[in-house]
Amino acid sequence: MITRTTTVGSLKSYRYDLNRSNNTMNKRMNTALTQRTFNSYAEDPAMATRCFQLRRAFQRTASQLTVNDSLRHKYDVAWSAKLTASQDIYAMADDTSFGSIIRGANGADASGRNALGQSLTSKAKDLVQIMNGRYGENYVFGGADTLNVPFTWEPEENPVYIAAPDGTNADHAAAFQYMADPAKVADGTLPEGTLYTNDPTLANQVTVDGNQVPEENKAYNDSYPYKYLKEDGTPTNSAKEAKSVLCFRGVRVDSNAEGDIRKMEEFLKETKYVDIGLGHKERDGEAVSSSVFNSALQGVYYTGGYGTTDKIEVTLSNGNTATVEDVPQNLINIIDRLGTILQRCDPDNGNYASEEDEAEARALFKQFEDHKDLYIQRWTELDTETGFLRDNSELLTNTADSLSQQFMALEDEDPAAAISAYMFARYCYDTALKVGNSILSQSLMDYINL
Amino acid sequence: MGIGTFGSFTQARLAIYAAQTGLTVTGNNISNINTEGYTRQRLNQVSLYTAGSDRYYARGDIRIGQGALVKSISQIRSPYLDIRFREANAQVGYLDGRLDGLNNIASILDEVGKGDESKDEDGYGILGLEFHKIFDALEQLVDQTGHQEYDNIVRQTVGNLVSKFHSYASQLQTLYDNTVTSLHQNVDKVNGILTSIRSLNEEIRKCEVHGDNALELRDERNNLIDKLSELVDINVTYSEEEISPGLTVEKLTIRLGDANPDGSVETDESLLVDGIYCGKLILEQVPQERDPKELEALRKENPDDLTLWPYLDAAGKGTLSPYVDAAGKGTDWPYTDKDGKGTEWAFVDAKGQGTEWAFTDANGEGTNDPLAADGVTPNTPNTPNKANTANTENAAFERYLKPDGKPTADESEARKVDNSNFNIKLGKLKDKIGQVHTSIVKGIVEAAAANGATAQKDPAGAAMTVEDLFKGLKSNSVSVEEADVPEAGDTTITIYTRIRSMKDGKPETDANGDPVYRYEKQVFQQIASKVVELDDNDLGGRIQAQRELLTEKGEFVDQAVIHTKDDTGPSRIGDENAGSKRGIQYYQRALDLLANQLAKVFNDANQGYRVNGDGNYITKGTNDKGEEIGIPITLTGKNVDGSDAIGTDHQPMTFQINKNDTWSKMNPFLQQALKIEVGMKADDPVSNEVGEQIVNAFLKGQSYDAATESFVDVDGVPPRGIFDGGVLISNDNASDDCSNITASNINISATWSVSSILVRSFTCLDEKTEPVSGQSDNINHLKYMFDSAKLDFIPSDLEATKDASDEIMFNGTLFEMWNQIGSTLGNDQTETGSQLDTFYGTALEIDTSRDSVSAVDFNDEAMNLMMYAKSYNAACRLMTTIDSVLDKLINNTGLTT
Repeated sequence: MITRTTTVGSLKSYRYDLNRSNNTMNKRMNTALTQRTFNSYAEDPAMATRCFQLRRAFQRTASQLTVNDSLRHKYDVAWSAKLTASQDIYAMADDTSFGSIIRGANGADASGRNALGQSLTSKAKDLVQIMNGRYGENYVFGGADTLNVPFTWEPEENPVYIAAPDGTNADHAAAFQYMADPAKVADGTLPEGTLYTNDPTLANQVTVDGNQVPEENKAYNDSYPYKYLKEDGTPTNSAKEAKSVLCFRGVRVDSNAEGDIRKMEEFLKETKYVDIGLGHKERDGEAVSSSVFNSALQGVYYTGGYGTTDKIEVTLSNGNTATVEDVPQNLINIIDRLGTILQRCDPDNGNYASEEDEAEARALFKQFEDHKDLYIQRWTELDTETGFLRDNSELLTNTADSLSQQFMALEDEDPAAAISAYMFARYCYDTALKVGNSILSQSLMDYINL
Repeated sequence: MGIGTFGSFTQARLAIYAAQTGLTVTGNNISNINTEGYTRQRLNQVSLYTAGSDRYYARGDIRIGQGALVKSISQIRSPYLDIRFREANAQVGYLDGRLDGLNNIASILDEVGKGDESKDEDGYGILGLEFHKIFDALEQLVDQTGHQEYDNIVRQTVGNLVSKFHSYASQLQTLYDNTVTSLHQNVDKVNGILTSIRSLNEEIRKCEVHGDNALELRDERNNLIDKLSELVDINVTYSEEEISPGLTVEKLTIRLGDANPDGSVETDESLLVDGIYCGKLILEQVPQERDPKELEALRKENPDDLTLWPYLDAAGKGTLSPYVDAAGKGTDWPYTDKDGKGTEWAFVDAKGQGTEWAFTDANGEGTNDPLAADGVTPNTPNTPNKANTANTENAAFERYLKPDGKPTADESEARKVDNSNFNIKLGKLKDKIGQVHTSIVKGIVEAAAANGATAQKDPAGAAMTVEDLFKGLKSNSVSVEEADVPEAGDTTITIYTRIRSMKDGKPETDANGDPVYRYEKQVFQQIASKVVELDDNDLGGRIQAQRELLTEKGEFVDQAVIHTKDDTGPSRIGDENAGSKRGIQYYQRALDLLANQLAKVFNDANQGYRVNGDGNYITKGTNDKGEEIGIPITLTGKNVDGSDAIGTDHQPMTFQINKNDTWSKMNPFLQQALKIEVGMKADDPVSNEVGEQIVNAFLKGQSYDAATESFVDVDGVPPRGIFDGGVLISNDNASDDCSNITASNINISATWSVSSILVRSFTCLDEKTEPVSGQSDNINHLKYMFDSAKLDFIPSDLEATKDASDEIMFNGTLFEMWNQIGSTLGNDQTETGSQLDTFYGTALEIDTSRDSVSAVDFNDEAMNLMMYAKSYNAACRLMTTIDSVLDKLINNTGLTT
């Protein structure tokens, strides 16, 4: 039996189909207008999710690129510093007269020592200034300590200085003249655990030459209340009078003290990690070093290091040999110390002020010659890292482009396809309208003639 | 017998009348072609034939019909198609309602193609863009650590993200409120339709009694039923109802359409309309309770105010706990087990399961009898738990709010609000004057024992036997009526019948010659319509969709809902599929969880104690020069008795506490030392979790408070470690409270909003107490946690859904979680949209099929017009012909010219 198709039924179906047709046309129109393949999660949840991930990766890469470029500029500044400093070092190293002046016997060569000394002292100051260069508001060679000037000239500290001596503290022995009387400690006159005292009446009494005298503390050093040492080694509390020593981030560069060495080692191990798109990862809450870039440039490392060499044997101009201890490793120290020694030479004949000075000058020069390659090698490392940042910048740019292309390929509708689809939908809709016109106009009712 | 002389006129007249009626019906059809719900009508005519036999019957006589008789006007409908359409329509209503709701959620949360167009950043999303800006700010801060302006940019970007969270949370709440309003409107709509159908049923019934088919009223009723079927799933049946002997009328019955997938549930077939009775959907209302947070704050301010406490302890003081354990601590549980944990069970059986029974028998069943049924075999005794003391419920507790917003203890005075589950009841079936519908359940006739008890009482109040009922009665039938049996409002009538026993064909008598009787009884129950508490899934249709949008929480649903077997009782909490149904609340909670995790990431990363390069916690000390320096915190290991632990070198063992040492990895002597330091006993057993708390308490300088089982600050005891940082994100911009953070209350903390507390690093160089100026390892860590770390999103992490699943619902970065919310919504929309398309198509197809039966068609009506017009003409011609013939017969017959 044929299904009875009614006017009401046809109109209802037609209305639904026309609505669908119109809906499709609207969708196609939106696609053509927005040029997007989808405009909501509902249209394609998987694709929308993918595109958001790609866009997020794109944004992340863009941020990493910005930081990478900022780092690159910082390294460019470092590189410029390197260029200036290198030129000076190369010039000194290549200058044959430099060695002659230091090593030469008294005479023509020696006469230039004062001038060279002044020049070297000035060079040391210049090098410090170069190494204290900044990129933006940050010091380039301060390691992670970017806000504080890395190299400073500080008054030499008195190693036995004690601010508040404590008789119970064995480390404060230098501040007390006498050994405390255990009986006074036992009866409570002195605090428990007191080892030393400056009061002779409370000191342990010993018999010397038949007399009862307070027992002296052999570790007593009367310079303990002074903070600084002068050039000649005498104590002072005036920072101005004190000898200037080179410090890196507050730690004396040419110090051999265990604490200072430990701090310097800490500086060299210090990191300032930056995420420049190397796949930042963490393990136990710490960044995995291979996934980030360490942007901490330690000035002390690029100037030859810290501490001193134990012993250097040198032959003096008179043919004698001498052993010089504690020769600084850092080039600025070497240059500065050389400058100081050379300036002490006799202005008339250039003679060293003393045999010790000559020995030290020769040792320093030897140290300089031994370390100049190391210095250059470390600058080369900087060069390599600058190159890496340059390459990484290109890589990040390419990644960003690629990500951008990926999400655009997924999101962006081909204009030709969008317009074609819209035109086809429009055509269908127009046709549907025409069909509707026929439905309403055609029926037997229009033809009957009673 | 032939037709009478003028009978042919009648024949023509009837034909004219029939044709004219046909034209009228056709005209009515054409007129109503656009009337919604109109069913085409058809003229039913029959050939008039006078039946019966004559007294004298001539074999050669010819009997002819006497014309066309208009019998009735009827509708053409297909009940089968109606049923199918309404089933499909309920699905369309449900899916359309659901899709409508999801689309509304999407209009808030779907960020596809959105973004900042002014900066050509459309397509990145709105919240998505804020995520990126935070990442970018953190990346810049790593590069420019120590510069305040970059700190501020991070705070600004986090502030922007927080604002977006507020905006989305507020829009979702508005959508929720609007959906509540819409649900109320739809419930009212259903009730309006049910009342209208009841009225129409009455009118149709009256018309039927008077012989009218009431076709237009039926159309109106069908139209309403169609509308009702979109709102709730229904099942429509028609039956005949005898309203007086020999007179039956049609009765329309509408039931809920068995929508509940749980076959054991019967409430999903409850009666909505039964003839002239109808029920009403009622949204359950409950008294409005006071805000718990507000109550908590008031309790802190006025602990002695008894109107603030739900229970009173033995001393008459207010308490929150219904019970007190042996240690005097408040608890929610009536018993305490051997591990000191609260439990609802009085005993524990041999398998370690809680039970209310004191013994377990051989079959594993609980019992209070120490011996088995044989009276000899002993049952297994269960282990009793320790009973806690019950506190008194405080009648003065002002738990509720009155309509004027003031607190009250009287539930009846309280403002009524919707139940949070939007439970719906179906009211009693009533007619238009409010009489409750009753139905009669007729029992079978069965034998009754003469001495059997009845519900009838004698004057002394004792139950009468069947035999007693007939004593002194001549009647052989007695009815006993019981009110409120089987349930309140019902009536049970038992009719007892006395029948004389027969023996050998004769009435039987006993030894005294008295007649012997046997008895029968028949029970009639008059069951009154009752309020039905509908199950969560009983309704179907648009109302079901709206309820689900309001109540379904998906993964955030209470575990009790999923694991409790469904029942039709008042709790109605069971729904094993609830975990996969996601309504507005799911998206609200998902957004809350995202905000909560975001806050946790920021707050956790930004609080801690400073460590040295080796990762050991440090404290402040002084060097020889009087300068402040950082020194590692060093502890001497302790034995269980509290004495110093001595190492192999015969010296006391000393330890430093490393940030990477978990409690389980820590040296036991150090663990014991730490426990003693915080005021615990060295041999107190502690879990790893509590162990971590001990370390934290030690660094904070806190002490263990056994009464509250927590670590508390001690006056005058400074922190042992050097604390750094603070809460960055809180639940209120006026405080640093980071508890219960949600999308609607997430804020920049009070401290962060006025100061820079972003921790760049916790690691200090040797002897230092401050990290170096440009160190940024903690910023990197924060950035990693924010952008790259795969975090576990667990529904029960939210305070509001703490009873939800402990399973991980998603593992990914914060941004991926946001993407996941959008993608879940998109998938829900796609799935619902596709189902709606299918069902809409089906409904349309069935509707078209219905139209093919019931709708008016111009061609048909044109044909009818022609047919009836021609019939009319022909009838008129017949009249003329008969007139002409009779004229000849009357006026011209027998005349000769």
